[in-house]
Amino acid sequence: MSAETGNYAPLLRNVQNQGGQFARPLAEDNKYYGFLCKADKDESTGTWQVFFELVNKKFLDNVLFNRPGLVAGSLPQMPALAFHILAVDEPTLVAALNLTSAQYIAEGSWYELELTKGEGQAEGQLYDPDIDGGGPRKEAS
Amino acid sequence: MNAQPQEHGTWHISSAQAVTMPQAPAPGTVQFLAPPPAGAVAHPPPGGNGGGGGGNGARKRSRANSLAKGQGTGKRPRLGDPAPAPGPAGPPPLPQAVTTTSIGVMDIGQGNCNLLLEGAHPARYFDTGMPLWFHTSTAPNQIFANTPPGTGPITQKENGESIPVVLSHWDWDHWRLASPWQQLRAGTWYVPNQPRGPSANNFFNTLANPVVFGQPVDPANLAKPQQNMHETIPQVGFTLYRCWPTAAHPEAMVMNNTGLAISTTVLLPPPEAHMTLLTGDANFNSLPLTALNPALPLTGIVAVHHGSNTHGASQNLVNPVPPYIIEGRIAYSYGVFRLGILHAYGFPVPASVEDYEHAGWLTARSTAEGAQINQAGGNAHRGNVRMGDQTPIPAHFNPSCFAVFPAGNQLT
Repeated sequence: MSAETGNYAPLLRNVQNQGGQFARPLAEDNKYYGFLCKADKDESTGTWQVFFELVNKKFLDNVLFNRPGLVAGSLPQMPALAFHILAVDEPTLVAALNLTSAQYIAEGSWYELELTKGEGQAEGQLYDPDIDGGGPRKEAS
Repeated sequence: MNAQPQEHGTWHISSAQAVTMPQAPAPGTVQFLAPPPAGAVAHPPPGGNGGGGGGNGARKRSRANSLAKGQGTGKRPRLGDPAPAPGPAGPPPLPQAVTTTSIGVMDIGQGNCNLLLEGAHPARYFDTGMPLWFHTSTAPNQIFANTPPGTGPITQKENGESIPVVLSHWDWDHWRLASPWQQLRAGTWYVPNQPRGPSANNFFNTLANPVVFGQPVDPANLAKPQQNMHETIPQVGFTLYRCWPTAAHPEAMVMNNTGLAISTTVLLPPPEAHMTLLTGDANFNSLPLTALNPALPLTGIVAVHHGSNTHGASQNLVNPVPPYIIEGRIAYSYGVFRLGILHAYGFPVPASVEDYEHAGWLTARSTAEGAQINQAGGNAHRGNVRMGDQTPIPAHFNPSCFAVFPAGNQLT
């Protein structure tokens, strides 16, 4: 019930600095932690749209999981990316997420993800999240 | 962290393993960062958690606990710690003497952004959403940072004070507008205690005065019922609620139904005070009964989850109260792409619109299509919707895109 940063700010900065060598949005090994921010089934098309907020796995492993002494009210600034699957059928998505059923496609879940460049069954667009401030994306005609 | 944000092209998921999954296994029990439930994971990794099955790997549990640790109470939890006591301290009170006379459901494309007004004056926001990047063409040009000066969203009060914000939940399309418009981050933000993704976390760290509302989720007591399931702070003309699932919910429902909702007054002819409910993406039955049975007549709502019908969003509706049972006013906030008539996510779902009509919410307006909801007319009738008193916004705010409410989108 309080501002989560406040007195923790210096500690968080130190923690972030400790992960500095991995503080690149694009992971060299293509491995990320993904927060499933949005998952919606479009009834008009029968397909799912899925939106992950990603962070370089090595960064988070280094700044959080390997720091048992970390007492944080919040997480430090992270090298974030966005991964948006615009349309995928349900069986393909369930298989890609290694789930047994679509009922477990739950916003708020964290995943360990490995991405591969190029097209595939559960394909999406990878981008820097702050790209959206400058203007609307042009629609393909 | 990048000087020039860019697209990185097409990628695909080559492997995935769920680490945590929010769950509401019983009424009043919420586990935001628990390991996936038994049977959820198809192929557990060697030595992994197997979705909660036998031989759960300590490594996965460590991940889940660490994530919880990073976003929890601010103290390091230990297994066996007592459950958090009902907090007598509670959140700091919201500003007094709020007398909301209308709500603006702002046209920001696919997302949600509601502006509460006191007479002519912008007073606070409920959500400041903006579409995902691939949905940004559903938004008007003026909501982006490169719009001509003054034409963007209202970001301050007339006297230069910051505008407080209540955030319903941490969905991208409910907070993102305050990323390019940093003045929107200068005021007090009342946010729900929920897990946040990396980008949302980075955004949270830039808020000038964030107040996390709701009982902390103690990772050491994830399996125990949270105290004060429904927290309510009444104000003059304004009440804030913490949503909680009232029954066992499927995993996919938890995040949308554990955020914040508000009820507020609006003034309607002759004039008299009526009540409206704004829930973000939460179902009405995730609100406390006090929210659903207000002292003033409930005659206005914003459609749940942009008009979705998943997970009972349009089946658990409140009704306008007598004598207004067929006079309910409803506003929809969604986006239509500029080329063609496609709706983002297919919202509002036609069956959902029917459900609202059957429940008495017959006078409907939308941000994307005005009164022509699902009529395949494109964006011709788009615009901000205003419910309640229609006193014009002061000229000070001209030519902001948030200062204009088309006549066809005025709900009185």
